[in-house]
Amino acid sequence: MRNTFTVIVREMGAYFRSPIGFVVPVLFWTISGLRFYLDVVGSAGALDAAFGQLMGGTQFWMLSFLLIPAITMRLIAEERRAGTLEMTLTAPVDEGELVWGKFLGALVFYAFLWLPLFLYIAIVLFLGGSPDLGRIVANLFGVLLLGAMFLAVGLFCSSVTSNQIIAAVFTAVVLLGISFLPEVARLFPRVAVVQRIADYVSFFRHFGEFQSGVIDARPAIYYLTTTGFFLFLTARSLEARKWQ
Amino acid sequence: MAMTRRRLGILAHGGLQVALALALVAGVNWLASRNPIPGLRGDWTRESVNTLHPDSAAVFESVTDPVELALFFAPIRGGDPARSALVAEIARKADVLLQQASYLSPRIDAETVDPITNPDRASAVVRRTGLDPNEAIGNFVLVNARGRNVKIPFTQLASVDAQSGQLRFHGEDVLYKAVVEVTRPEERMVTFTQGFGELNPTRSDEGLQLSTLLDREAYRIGRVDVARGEPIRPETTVLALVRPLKDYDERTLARIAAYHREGGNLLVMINAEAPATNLRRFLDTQFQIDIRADNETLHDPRAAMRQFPDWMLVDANFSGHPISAPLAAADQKAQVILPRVRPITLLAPNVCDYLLTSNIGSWTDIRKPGHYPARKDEGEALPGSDKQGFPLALAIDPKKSSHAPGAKPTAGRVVVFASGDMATSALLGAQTANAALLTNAIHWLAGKSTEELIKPIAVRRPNLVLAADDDRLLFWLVVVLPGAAMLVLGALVFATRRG
Repeated sequence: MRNTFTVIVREMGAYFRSPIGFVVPVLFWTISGLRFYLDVVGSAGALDAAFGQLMGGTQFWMLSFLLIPAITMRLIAEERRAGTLEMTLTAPVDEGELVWGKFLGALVFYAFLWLPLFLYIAIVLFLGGSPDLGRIVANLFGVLLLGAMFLAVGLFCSSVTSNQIIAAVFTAVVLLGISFLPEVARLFPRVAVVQRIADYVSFFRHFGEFQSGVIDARPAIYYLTTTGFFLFLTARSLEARKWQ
Repeated sequence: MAMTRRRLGILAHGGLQVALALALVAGVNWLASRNPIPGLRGDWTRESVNTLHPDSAAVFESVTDPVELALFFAPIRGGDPARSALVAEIARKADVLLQQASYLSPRIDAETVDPITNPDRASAVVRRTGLDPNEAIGNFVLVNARGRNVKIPFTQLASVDAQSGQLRFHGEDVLYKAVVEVTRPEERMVTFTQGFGELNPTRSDEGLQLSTLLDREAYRIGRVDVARGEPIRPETTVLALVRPLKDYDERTLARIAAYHREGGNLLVMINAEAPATNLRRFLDTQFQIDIRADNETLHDPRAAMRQFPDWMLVDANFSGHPISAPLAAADQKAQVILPRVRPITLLAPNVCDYLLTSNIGSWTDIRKPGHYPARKDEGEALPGSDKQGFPLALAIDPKKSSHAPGAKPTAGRVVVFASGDMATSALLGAQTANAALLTNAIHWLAGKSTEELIKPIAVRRPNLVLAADDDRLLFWLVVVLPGAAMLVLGALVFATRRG
């Protein structure tokens, strides 16, 4: 536990020592803020729609596919390139603790990206708006679960290469691949079970529940188990290095 | 060699671990998707817009046969963007609804099919369900079970409010009725008496709305020529005497009374001015109901209501649901009504005509000033201010009043409307409340009181109104401030580190 915490603190420090720790938030906050502002003004103050777009609109998905690879690309690939991974793994930290710590560090940074949401809510309330706070909370919960899954995928991709760019591209490809699975499944129109599995694996479908203001155990289980699976793969990937 | 074997062993071990983990993830997800976990689904929206009505949830939970729900939806490419967005919104809501239904029971499967981009999949669903391929056109929800299909077009799932322009989604109500229909083992039939000038539901000019309504609610329509002495079919769920233009003979009324005594349910819709003395006497002697044309009522409602101080069934005093409340109240009221000696009067026709032909707002707006040419100048209170409303229909459940003298515990239910014209296409389509009232009355008669119309939850949250200053403030605080603050912080950090 202590080792995990040490890794988390180290990762957070690493984020804010690198340009990524500032460039990613500036980009994310400016684009999201602009989108939110335009939605509020453009929809004549329909706040539920504006918050829904902020946490589930086109810009949300585009930023997720672009920025999460940027957050995760250096997590392990950088250590591999610099040759510090072996050193870390010879310290009293096992693969599981290292993976868990790096994942939680990235998750905290990802959660940090959503801090302005509370500013938006406060401003809207100050201006006399009446947003559905319950729906926002449920949506935010879904955003964090989805982010955790994306980060786990990114962490795994970062663990299989020492090149950060390849790790980022690989992450984006895997995420896009999962999202396009239902389209791929159409190649097998006569096998209904393939289409059903592909539909289920697509994370868009599960996210819709949170977006409509529902916190359900089933989509949460999907995101948590998928996250756990990719973290497990990452740990196995690091372990495999020992034997190379 | 030994090294290679060892590496292979490690590789196989790792592969096995990954395969087991994948199997575990798949198993947990499969179990979770098939078996809803009670209490682990929370609707966090302020108005609980994602929560199914307990009645429909109970229907979905209790299905015993496999039910397939398929949403056929092809997004509109090109054309009017507003219409495309509207259709897409209906599809989104329908998809969520289907998912909710499937979550409630492992026997319900839901899927969404785009027949344009994925015709093979659409064909597979059509083949599997036995839907007529010519029917698989447009956007709709298909409900299939026990080899039965119900196709729900998008036009039935939602409507656009004429005044506010907002989308009203009725999907829950329509879907659960469809599920009831395809899973119900027995069929229900409403049989219309004929031979005394009654309304013919199969005639397109006057009965189209009624037959469409009954068809949508999964009732079969039957006709029995009672004038010729045809027997009432035993599968009849409700016997309807609707708008007779001639008087019934004593023999026919005796048969109808016998049918009712043996548990048959009766729907009587009669105009006050109709020449049906025998039927009126029948209602009076059997149920103490007097249908009267009282032209004074409209102008002196308080005086009229003083005659009936302690009963009121279907009136303008809606609280919550406009229709189910009065009929639910009828269950208790019937115990009071039956022992009464004084005849109960249903007032017609002018009040009925006013209610039935007014615009949709009339049911709720009837107590507002200006709706009646009442004697305001003479200081009369406005209609409805006595919270009594106007008697329009009466529902009786003799099973609930077995202590009443003369009541037969096995007798069926009765609903009497003081308007026969209400069932005609002209009045039934005049406002949605008419159709809802009649639908619920028939459901109640058929013993399906849980099938009363489920009203969509109305979300009325005022939009944020921004003044010009607010607009600027919002822009600076939301768009500029967070990014700029982070940029300055970053510059400071890097400057400090360089220093």
